[in-house]
Amino acid sequence: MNLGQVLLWVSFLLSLGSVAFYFLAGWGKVKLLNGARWLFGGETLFLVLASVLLFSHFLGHRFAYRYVAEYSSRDLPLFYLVSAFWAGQEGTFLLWAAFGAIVGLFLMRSAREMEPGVMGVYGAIQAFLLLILVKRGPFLLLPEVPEDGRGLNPLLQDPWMVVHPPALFAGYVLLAVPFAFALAGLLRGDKDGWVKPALPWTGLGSLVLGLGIILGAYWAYKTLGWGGYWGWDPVENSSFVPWVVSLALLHGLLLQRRRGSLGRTNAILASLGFLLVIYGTFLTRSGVLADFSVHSFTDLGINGFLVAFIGLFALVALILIAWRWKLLASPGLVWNWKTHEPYLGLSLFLFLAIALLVLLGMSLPLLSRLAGKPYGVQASYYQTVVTPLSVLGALLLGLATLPRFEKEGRGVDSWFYLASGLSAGCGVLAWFLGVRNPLFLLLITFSCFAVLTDILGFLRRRARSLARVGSVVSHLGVGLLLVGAVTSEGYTRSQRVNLPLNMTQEALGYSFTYQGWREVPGTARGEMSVSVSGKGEQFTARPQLFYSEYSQGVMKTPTIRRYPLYDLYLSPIEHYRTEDEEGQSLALMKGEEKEIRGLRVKFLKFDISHMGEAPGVTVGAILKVMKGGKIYPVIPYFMTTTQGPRSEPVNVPGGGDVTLTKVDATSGRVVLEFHGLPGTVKETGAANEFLALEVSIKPLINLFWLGTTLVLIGLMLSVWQRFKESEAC
Amino acid sequence: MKGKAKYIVGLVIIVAGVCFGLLSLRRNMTPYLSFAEAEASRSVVQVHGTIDQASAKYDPNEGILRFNLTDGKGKTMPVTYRGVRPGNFEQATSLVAIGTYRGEAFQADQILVKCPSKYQALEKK
Repeated sequence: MNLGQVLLWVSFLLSLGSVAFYFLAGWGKVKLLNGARWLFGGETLFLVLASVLLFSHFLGHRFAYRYVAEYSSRDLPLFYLVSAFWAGQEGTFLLWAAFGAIVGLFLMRSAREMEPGVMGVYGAIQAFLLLILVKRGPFLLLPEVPEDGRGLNPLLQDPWMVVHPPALFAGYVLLAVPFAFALAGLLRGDKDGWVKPALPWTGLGSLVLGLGIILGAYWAYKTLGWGGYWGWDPVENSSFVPWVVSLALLHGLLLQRRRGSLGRTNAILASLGFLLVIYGTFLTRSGVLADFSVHSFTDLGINGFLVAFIGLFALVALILIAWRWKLLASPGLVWNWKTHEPYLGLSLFLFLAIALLVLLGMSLPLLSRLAGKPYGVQASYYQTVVTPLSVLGALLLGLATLPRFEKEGRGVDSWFYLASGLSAGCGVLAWFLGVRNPLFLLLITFSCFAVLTDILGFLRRRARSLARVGSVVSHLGVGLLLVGAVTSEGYTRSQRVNLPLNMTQEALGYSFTYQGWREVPGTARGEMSVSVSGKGEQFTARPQLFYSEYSQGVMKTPTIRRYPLYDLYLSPIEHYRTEDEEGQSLALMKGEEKEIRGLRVKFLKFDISHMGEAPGVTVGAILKVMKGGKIYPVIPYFMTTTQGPRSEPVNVPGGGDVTLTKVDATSGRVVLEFHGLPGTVKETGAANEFLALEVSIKPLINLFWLGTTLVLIGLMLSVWQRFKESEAC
Repeated sequence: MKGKAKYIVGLVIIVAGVCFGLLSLRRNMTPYLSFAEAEASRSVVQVHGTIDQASAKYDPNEGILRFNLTDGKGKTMPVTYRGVRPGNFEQATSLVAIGTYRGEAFQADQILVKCPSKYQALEKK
């Protein structure tokens, strides 16, 4: 056993001790409470130590460890060496458990008199995660030490992908908190006492998990190049379903806190949210979906553990809920439109309906396999079921503002009717803009209704608490993101253009000229220069298409040009080149002037003003470029970094770019490399090279991103307020 | 609303919702079928097989990929796929195709490529 494994074992044993002590303390042996805390603290310490150790293995390139060899290599930059920690399953389980332990330290204080029960249940979850880590942790050794590791999947070498998994797992950790509160409440026979302390934690869980999901969606949009951000893949669904359940719980808890209603529903929702996290983990990591998902996960031999994990906790929750069923009886909802109750109650229905229908779809491969013949589900299923539910949701959001428009005993304020009228106008406008699908028309109309009533309702009756402001902001975000989702998913226009080198083609109101391919210095990635003009502007797009040794396949990176009303999304499909067209080099001495393809280029002097800003050396060459009688300053830079020399191409007036490839400071000489200059084609070269590009226009997609951001900001405000409230008492 | 009416309305909504969900599911389900079954079926199905790389042809101008898929029993089926060729197609050994059998070939709407396990080299050591 090596050090890492010892640390995990010790942490596991401490966690068992902590759980036992907490339950005994809850049983009446109050003296053990302090011991339980210390044991939990010890568990946390050893988990943190194990994590630090794994980091140090990555930083020290200790390829004797299988996990390190599988997910990193010597040439991996520091930033991604850190994120390689959670590139594989074993590491994510460690991250999950370590986050869980740290959150537990805060939970311990926040749970107050419920501490023994809450921490007992929460600690039992931790113990299970640690059991998985003990069984299959990231510290397995290889029989033979390889020279270098396999490296990190290039798709994961992206800043968004560095933060996406930690956010997701922090969200999973936080969803265990309301579950622990609910079970502790059931154990104590306390129907409503757990609601107030659990509320901010539930909100925080929704916030962090939501952030993780949205980061993943944005990463997919920006890097994968298939043009979308959400594919209803099992891996996405497995985090989406618990998130929706956590939102249902959040709304349910608000009702219970206010009126003591929904005791049973909330106990079930709190259990469901957490169990679905484990179920999703099982579904996406067990390999049962191997033939149904683009993602693939290898079976680590922990399926039995995960099944036992879900089974055990589900059984305990079920028994406790059944045992306390009578106690949980709560006053029914008051169906008075002037209060928030009916809307909150109905929102629960909608959230649950969405969660269960998506759950059904993602489970079908597993269920049908158990029943005999395996079946898959197409993404269209999710669109079919989620669209009408979103229509109802948007309508409900608008109606939910009615209490704000109520005039004491005299009906509804006319501002509400104004908002309704305006949103009908939005629907008509959408029809004129070409939206013909009746469901989409309804969705746009009702979303506008939700947005307008939300804003007007807020202006009419200012929210007094920050939590209320939070809900206004979140609901505004939902309305906007629904509109953005309809327009960008339903009304994206796409066209494939085949671009022979230096021939201009028109598509969707833009004209495209493929100007050449080159290798990005310092990487093995190929980059295409495409000159794009239209809508009064001209720019060079640089989508990438490259072969990845790691994935043994061609990877692509799209170029996205953002406008207020739409995104121009350029995704490379295919690149053909029969003959290498080298960039054109030009060596210049200080003060020397030469001509290249109609450009007169003069090297004036070095720019050393950026020296010392970043590690390594940064030198620029100040060039004077003359084209058509005009003079342009152009300054390409050359950097020596810890990963070797690097230089970025800089645009040249008239198209193409220039890179500073060599610098000789003593003799005052530079070598420049020009790419994609107009007229660089050899007469015969035209047919030898072409680029197939998928051009798409995604209308109003920024509304989607704005909406998701507002949802998160709103959640943040409410969580902040609720934590302050629960501390005040 | 009186107590009973409320429950009935609620029940009707729930039953309607469940029916809607199941119907949508039925319409969008794709069964895993053998080649013979897929050829007989007219709806959208999934097939799984080994790619005959020698037969693979890609028409870059049209963006159509054609290849033969072989099942475990030696039966071969031509597949055409219109769309972006998956990046790792050349290295792929087996593949899942989702689509409909029409005329002479299986017209795939979607293909999921399965690569030889990247861990094999390490496992063998």
